[in-house]
Amino acid sequence: MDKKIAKFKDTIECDEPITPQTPLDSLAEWDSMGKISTIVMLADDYNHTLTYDELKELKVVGDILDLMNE
Amino acid sequence: MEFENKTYIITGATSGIGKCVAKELAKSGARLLLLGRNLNSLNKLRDELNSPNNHDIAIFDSNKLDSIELAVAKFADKFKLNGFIHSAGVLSPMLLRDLNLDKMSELININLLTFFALAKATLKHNRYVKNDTSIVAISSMAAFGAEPGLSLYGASKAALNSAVSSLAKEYAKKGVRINAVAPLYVNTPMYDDFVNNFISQEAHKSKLNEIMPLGLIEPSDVAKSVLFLLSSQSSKITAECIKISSGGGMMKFKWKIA
Repeated sequence: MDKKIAKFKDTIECDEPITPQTPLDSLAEWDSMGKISTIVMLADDYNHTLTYDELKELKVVGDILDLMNE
Repeated sequence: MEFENKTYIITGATSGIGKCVAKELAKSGARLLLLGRNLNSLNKLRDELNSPNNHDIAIFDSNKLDSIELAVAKFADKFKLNGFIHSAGVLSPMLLRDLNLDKMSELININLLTFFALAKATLKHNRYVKNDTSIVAISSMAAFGAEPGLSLYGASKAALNSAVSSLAKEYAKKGVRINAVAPLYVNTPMYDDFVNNFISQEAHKSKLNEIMPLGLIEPSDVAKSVLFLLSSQSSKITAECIKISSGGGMMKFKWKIA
């Protein structure tokens, strides 16, 4: 879990402490660039193609961690 | 001192503009990672700089772009980066009929792709200092010109300018500034080669004033602009290309062959 959080923080270049409960909208780094980086990370490393509809449904950090399944 | 405790990477540091920038930065207290092809020249340069023990050197091969990530990773483990100066470049004037894939790849690798590789390596999360990072690419007036024999070189520098402005937009939010400096002819070994091999000395002497009324540009002239763009004096300037034309516009030398 910690590894995944660290990887997500690295992906969006976030320096704040975050938990699975952290709302994505509260993160300054969750902007268009952060979203694109997350889409690429999920596609490249987890073979998950994030659709636009899925992207809209993401509310908290945990929602992204759930998609990060090897 | 302006660059006390600041850390920069320089490519092409062993000659011409890069060497001058390295000396000026070291004089102002910066810590440097010098990247080059030749270990002896790198060692020699480091010994010439202020506080040689402050600086690191690393070999990189522009045809193996992974070597840049390796060199930067090792250095960035010790120090957070404040930016880099991409000064390595080759001119290689060539006519279309003499171009081949190997020559083209080599030039594009050094002039353009090394810049991308270095930007990627430097701008990794936690490797650079947010809101205090400045990157400068040494471009050329050839990017704006249309000279026979400089199609590939000009194209590579125009591409470099384009990369600079796009990446500047990409990283503005993180407080990273990315700019270019584009001089006309600079008094460097690269220029000597060009004069000796592609235009006649006579033409060079008689034409120089016409081409650059303010005189041949010295590496220190370019270094001053580079240091300005690295410094806090330009803290709101990004995605910009400073042209150093010396009063001229284009590269109007008559070629021996033309």
